[in-house]
Amino acid sequence: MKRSLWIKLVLFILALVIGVVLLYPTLRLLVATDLDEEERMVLEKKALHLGLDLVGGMHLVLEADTSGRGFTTQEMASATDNAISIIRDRVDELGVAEPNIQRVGRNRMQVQLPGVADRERALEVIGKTGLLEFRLLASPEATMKIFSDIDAHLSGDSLGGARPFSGYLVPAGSDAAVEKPNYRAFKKLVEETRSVVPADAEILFGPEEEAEGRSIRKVYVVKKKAEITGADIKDAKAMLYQGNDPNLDRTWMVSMDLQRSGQARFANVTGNNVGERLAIVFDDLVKSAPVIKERIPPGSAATITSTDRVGNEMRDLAILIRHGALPVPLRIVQERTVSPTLGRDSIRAGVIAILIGLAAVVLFIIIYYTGSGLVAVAALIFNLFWLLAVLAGFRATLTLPGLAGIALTIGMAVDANVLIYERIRDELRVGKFPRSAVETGYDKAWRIIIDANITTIIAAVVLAVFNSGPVRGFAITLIVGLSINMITAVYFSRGLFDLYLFRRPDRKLYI
Amino acid sequence: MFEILKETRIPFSRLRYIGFIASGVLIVLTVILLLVNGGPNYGIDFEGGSKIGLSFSEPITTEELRSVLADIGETNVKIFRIQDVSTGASSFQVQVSPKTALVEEDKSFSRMLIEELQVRNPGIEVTLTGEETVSAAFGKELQWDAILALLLGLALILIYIWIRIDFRFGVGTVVAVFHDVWITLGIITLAGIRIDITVIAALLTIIGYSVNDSIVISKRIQELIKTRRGATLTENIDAGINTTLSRTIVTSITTLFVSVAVVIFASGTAIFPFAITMTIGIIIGTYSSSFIVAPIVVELERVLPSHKRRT
Repeated sequence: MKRSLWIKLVLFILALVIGVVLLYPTLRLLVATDLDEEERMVLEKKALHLGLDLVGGMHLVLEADTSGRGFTTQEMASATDNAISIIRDRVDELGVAEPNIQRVGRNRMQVQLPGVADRERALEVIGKTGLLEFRLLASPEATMKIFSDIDAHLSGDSLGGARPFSGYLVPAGSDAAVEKPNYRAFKKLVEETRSVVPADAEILFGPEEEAEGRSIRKVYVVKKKAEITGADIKDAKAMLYQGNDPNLDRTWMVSMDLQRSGQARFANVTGNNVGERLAIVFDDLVKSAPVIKERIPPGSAATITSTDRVGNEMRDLAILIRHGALPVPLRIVQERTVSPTLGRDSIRAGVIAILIGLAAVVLFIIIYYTGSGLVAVAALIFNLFWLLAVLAGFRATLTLPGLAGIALTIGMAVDANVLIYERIRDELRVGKFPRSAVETGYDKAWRIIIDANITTIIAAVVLAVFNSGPVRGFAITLIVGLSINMITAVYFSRGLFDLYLFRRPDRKLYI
Repeated sequence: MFEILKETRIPFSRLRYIGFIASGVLIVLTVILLLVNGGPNYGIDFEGGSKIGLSFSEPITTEELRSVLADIGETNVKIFRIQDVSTGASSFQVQVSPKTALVEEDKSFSRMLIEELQVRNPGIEVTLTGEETVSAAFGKELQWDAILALLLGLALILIYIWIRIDFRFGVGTVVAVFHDVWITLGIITLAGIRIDITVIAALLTIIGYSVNDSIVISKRIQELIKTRRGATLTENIDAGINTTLSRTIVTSITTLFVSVAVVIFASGTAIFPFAITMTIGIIIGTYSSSFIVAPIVVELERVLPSHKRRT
C-alpha cells in the first residue's frame, strides 16, 4: 500500500514537471513583455499553436483545373506540385510569418496565411498568372557602386566608412547574398532606398537556398528592361549535358527554343553581351542568372548549363521557362478570412465561456459531493493543465471549435468521478467501511468509465480524420482531453482518497 | 450527503408509453417540418456561397443593409444580426448564393458591398470582420464528406455497442441514437440554425454522448440481471434506470453548464451553431437514455422473449 502510493507520487510529480516544461514557452509568451523579435520567434515555435480562426488570417483551398487537358493521374499530380512550388514562392514574397502550404488530395492545395489582413492583395498575388522575363544583370562594378551608394545614403556619409546596407551581405559563389534571419530587415532597407538605385535597374532576390549549411537568398541588381519574355519561348526541356566540357560531364542542362518573334532579339542580346549574365526573372524572383557564353544565332537552341547532377533543379527551371506561369490554372474553391480583431474576440469569448463553465461545474460538484467534490475538482484542474501541455507539446493547432472542445471536456470529464462517487455512495449505503467502499467503487466503475469515454472518442477520431479545418481542432482536444481524463479521474483521484484513508480506513468520507 | 434525487422508484417500464408518444410526436413533427421547409437549412459549407461578416462603428438597421444589397443587385440574401452579449455591440452576417460569390472576379462581392455602404453612410466606418467563400462544387463534396463521416462514425459506434452490450440493448441504443439526431435536427431547423461543418461535429459528438449514457444504464441493468436472479426483467430495468438516474442527471447538468456558457458567450462567433446544437442534443440524449432505450428492451422482450426470463 505504502509503496504503491510512493510510486504514484513520483509519477505525479514527473507528469507535473513535464507539463510545466511543455507549457513554459506559452506562459512566458503570455506574461513577458520585454521579449525581442528573435526570442519571441523561438518561443512561438514551442508554444501552443493558435489556428487561423483565432489569430486572424486567410485560409484558401485552390484547385488545379486539369479538366480537358487529357492529363494522366500522374501528370495531374506533378502539375499540381509545380503549381504549389510557384505559389510557395509567391507567398514568400508576401512576407507572411508562418505560411502553411500543402497538397490536399490529388489536385488541390491548402494555403494558410496567418495574420494576413490585406485580403485583396493576397488574393491578387496568389491568383495572378505569373510573368517570366529574361533581363540583363548589372555588371559587378555597377552592382558594387549601387551598394556603396546605398550605404552612403543610409549613413549620410559619402566617404564609405559605414556599411549599414552592404554589412548584411555575405559572399555566395560569385554573388552576394543575405542570410535568412536578416532577410526581412534587409528587404525593408531595399524598399526604403529605391530612389538611390538608377532608374533602369532594381534590386531583386533569388529563391531561398542552402549554401554551406546556411539558408541564404542571393541579391542581384537587375536591369528593368526585359530582353525577352515567356511569350517568346517555344519550348524548354531538361536534358543531360551533351557538350565537350569535361567539367560539365553528367550534369543537367536546359535546352530552350525560341519563337520566331524573339529569335533576332535574343541573337542581338547574346551577341552584344558575351561574358555578361542574363537573369531569368519570374514574378520578380531571380530563378537563375547564367553567364552568356556566346551569341545564340536565330533558329538554334540556347542551353543553360548547371552543376546540377540530380536533375530536379533543371527540370523545374525547364517547366518554369516552358510555361512561364502556373502549369495549370488555379481556381479558389474555398476561402476563409478572419480579421485579427474577430480572432481576438473569439479567443476572449471562448476563454470566458470556458472559465464560466468551469466555475459553474466546480461550484456544483463541491456543493454536491463536498469534500470528495474537491478531489474531483483537483482532478479536473489537472486534466485541463495536462490537456494544454499535451496540445502545446505536440504542436496541435488550437482553434475556436478546439476551445469549445476544451469546455466540453470539462463538462464530460466530471462524469468519470460522478460514476465512481455514485458507486461509493451505494457501497456506503450498504454499510461498508469507507476504505472498502472506495476500493469497490473504483473497481466497479472504471470499466464503465472506459466504455463510456470510448464511444465519444470514436466519434472524435472520425471527425479528426475527415476534417482538415478548425473542426479537427475540436476533435483533437476532445480525444486528448477525454484520454487524460481516464487517467486523472481514475488514478489521480484514487491516489488522493488512498492518502486520506491511509492510516484510518474508517475515516469519515465527505461524499 | 447532498442528493438531487433521493432513492427514486420511477416505474419507467410502465411509463414507457408516455415516452413513446412524446418521441413519436416529436419525430412526426420533425418529418413535417423538414418536408415543409424543403430539408434542413444548409450553411455555405454545403450549399456554396459567401458569408461576410460586417461590423459598423454606429448601429444600422437590417432594413438599411438589405436596401443597400438590393441596390447592388442582390436580393436573394440572408442577413443575420449578431449581438455580442458582453459588449452589447451588434454586427451582421450576410450570406449570398454561390453565383454572387464568384471569387475569380476582379472586385470581390464583399469589397463592392463595403464601398457601397460607405458611399451611402459617409460617417459610419464599416469593417470586414471575416469572409468565407465556398464554391458550389466544393460544397457538394464537403457535404458528401460530412455524410460519410456521420455514417462511418455511426457504424464504428454500432460495432462497439455490438461488442460491448447484448443484442436487445444494442437495438435500443441504436434507435435512441437515430431518435436523438433526428429530433435535434428538427429543433435546429425550427430555430433557423444553418448546418455547417461544426454542426456535423456537434451531431457526431451527440451520438457519442447519447451512446455513452445508454451504455452506462444498460451495463447497470445487465449487472442487476446477473445479481438479482429473482427479479423480473422489468423490475431490473426500472431499478437500473433509477440507480443510475442521479449520475445521468449530474453529468448532463455539468455538460449543460459548459455548453450553455459557450452558447451565451460565443454567440457572436463561428461556434454558436455548434454550441446550440450540442445543448439541444444533450437534453434529448439524456431523455432518450432513460425513456427510450430500456422501454424498447421491454418491448423486444415481449415480442421476442428470451428463454429464461419472465417479464
